[in-house]
Amino acid sequence: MNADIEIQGLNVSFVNRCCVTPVVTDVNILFPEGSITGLIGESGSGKSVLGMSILRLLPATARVEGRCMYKGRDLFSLPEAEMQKVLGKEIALIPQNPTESLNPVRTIGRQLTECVTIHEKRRKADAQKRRDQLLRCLGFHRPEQVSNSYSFELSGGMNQRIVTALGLMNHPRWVIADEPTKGLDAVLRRQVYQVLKEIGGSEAGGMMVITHDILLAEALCDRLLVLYKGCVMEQGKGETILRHPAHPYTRGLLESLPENGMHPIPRADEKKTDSGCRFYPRCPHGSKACGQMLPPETVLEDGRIVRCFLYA
Amino acid sequence: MLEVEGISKTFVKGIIRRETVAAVKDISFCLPDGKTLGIVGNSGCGKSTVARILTSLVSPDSGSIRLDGEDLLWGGRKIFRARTRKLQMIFQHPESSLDPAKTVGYSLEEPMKIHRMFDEKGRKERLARLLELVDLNQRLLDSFPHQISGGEAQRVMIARALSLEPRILILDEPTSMLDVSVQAQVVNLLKSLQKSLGLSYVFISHDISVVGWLCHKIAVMQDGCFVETGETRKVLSSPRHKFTRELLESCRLSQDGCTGGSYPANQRG
Repeated sequence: MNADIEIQGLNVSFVNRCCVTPVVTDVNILFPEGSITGLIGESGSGKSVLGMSILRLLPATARVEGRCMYKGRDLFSLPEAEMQKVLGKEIALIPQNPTESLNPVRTIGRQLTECVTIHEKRRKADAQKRRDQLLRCLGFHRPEQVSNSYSFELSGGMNQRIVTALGLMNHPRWVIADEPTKGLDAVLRRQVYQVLKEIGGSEAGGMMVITHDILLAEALCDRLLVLYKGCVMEQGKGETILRHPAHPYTRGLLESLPENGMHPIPRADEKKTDSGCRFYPRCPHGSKACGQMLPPETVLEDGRIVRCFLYA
Repeated sequence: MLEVEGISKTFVKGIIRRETVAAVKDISFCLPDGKTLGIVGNSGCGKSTVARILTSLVSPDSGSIRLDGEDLLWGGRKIFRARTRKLQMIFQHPESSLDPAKTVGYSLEEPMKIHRMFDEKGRKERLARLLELVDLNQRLLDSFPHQISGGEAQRVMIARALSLEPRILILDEPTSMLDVSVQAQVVNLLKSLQKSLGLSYVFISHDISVVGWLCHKIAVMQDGCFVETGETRKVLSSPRHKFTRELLESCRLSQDGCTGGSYPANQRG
C-alpha cells in the first residue's frame, strides 16, 4: 500500500487562558514514500511542532486543524487504540532531549527491547540480537555493557545515540528524527549520519529529519522544507534550494554559515509587523504588500514551492 | 600574555576498586594578548577539564599558569580572587548558567558586588554600558531567564563575564546550542569585542568550521594531550597528525573512508 504522508491545511495553535498563539500556519506538504525530507529553520520556527503533530504527541493545550493522510486514513481522527498501533511501529520518533526521554529507573537494554516485544510479540532473544547490532552500528563497542547501564550513567551524546536506536528498533516505515545530531562531536555525528542514511536508502519507507544543522540536511536529505515562524517558506529538492536559494530567509540562513562568511540575518525592524509575511520585519526586500497578507505559495520552474512576493 | 606550562590532572573514581583517569596530560601553551586559541577534539578528550583548570574550578596536579608573569595557582585568598578576576568563563548552556529565580539585572550585577567594584550608581551605569556593548535592549534587565531566548541568554553571559574587566575569556562551546544565524551573531560579537577591548580568548569547540573562522591558533586534543598545535590556516589546510586528518574528514560527512560498523541488512519478518 502507498505509504506517503500527506499533510493538508495544517494549522496548529496553542491556547491558554488569555490568548491563542499560532505556531504552524497553513502547511500543505506531501512526504513521498522512501524520501528523506529535512525540516530546517531557526529555533521556534515550528519544526518540532510540525513533527509532533503528525504523531499526535502535542500537549492538550494545542489546537490542531487539518488532515494528515497516511495509508488512506486521517491520522488526526484515528481512534486512540488504532493510533497506538501506528505509533512506534509504523511511524517512529527519535525524540529531542534524549536524557529526559529515557526512563531513569530502567536499564537501557530493557527499554530498547521493550518496544519490540510489545509491538511484534517477538521473542526476547531476537529483540536482544537486534538491539546489540544497532548499538554496535551507532558506535558502542560493548553493547552488553551499555544495555546494563541506566540513562543517568551515560553522557548526553551516548543517550542521543540510544534514543536513535530506540526509534529504529521496530524497522518502522517512517522515522521522524528530531535533532538527531544535537550535542554530538564530529566523529559521532558522522556515525549517526551514516546509520540514518543507510536506513533511508534501504528499509524505512521514509524519514523526516528536523535539524538546524544545514550541512547534515544537505548530505542526508533529498528534499528540504525551510520553516520560519510556522510557515513553510520554501520547499523542494535539497540541492536546488541550497545551491540557489530563492527565498530571502533561506539566503540569510545560508549566509550565516561559517563556510559562507557568517553574515547574520538582520534583526527585526520593530516598526514592521509580521501579520502578513512572517519574515517581513527582517527581510531586506520587503515591499508594501508583504506587510498586509501572507504571500501565496508559488511553484517555480524547477519544481520548488516558494512563499514570497518576489516570485508571486 | 597567558603562559600555561605542563599542567596535568588525574581523576580518581571508586572507593574500593580505585580507577584513575588521566584527563589532562602535560599541556603547555602560551596565548599572546588579543589572540584566540581554539581547542578542538572529541567529547571526553579533556577539553573542558583544561577550561576548568584555567578558571581555577579544578586544581591541577602539577604545572603552572601565569598571567603576565603572575602565578594564578598559588597565593592567599585575596590575591587569588583579584587575579582570577582577569580570567572569566562562558559556559555551554547559557540558560542553566543564570539563576532562574533572579532577574537578569540581578545576575549581571552580582559579580561586581562580590568584587566590590563601583558604588550602587556606578554599577547601574556600567550595566547599561555592558548591555549596549553586547547589543541588547535595556528592558531585558527586569526579565527572568526563562523569558529570554538562547541567543540573548548567551549575550547576557558574555556581558556578565565582561563586567569584571577580564583580560581573557574562556569559552566552553559557547555556540553549540544556538542556531546558525544566532551563532553568527554571537561569533561576530566576540570578534568585534576582541578588537575593541583587546581580549584574548580560549575557544573550546568541536565545530571546526567555527574554530577556523574565529581562531588565530588551533590546538587539536586527543586523550588529554595536544597532538597538534599551530596557525589555524596551516593546521586546517595541511594537517600533520593522523587524528587531525580524521577529525577534518568526519566534518565533511562524506561516505568515503567510513570506519564505523555498517548497518545490518533488513531483517523484517
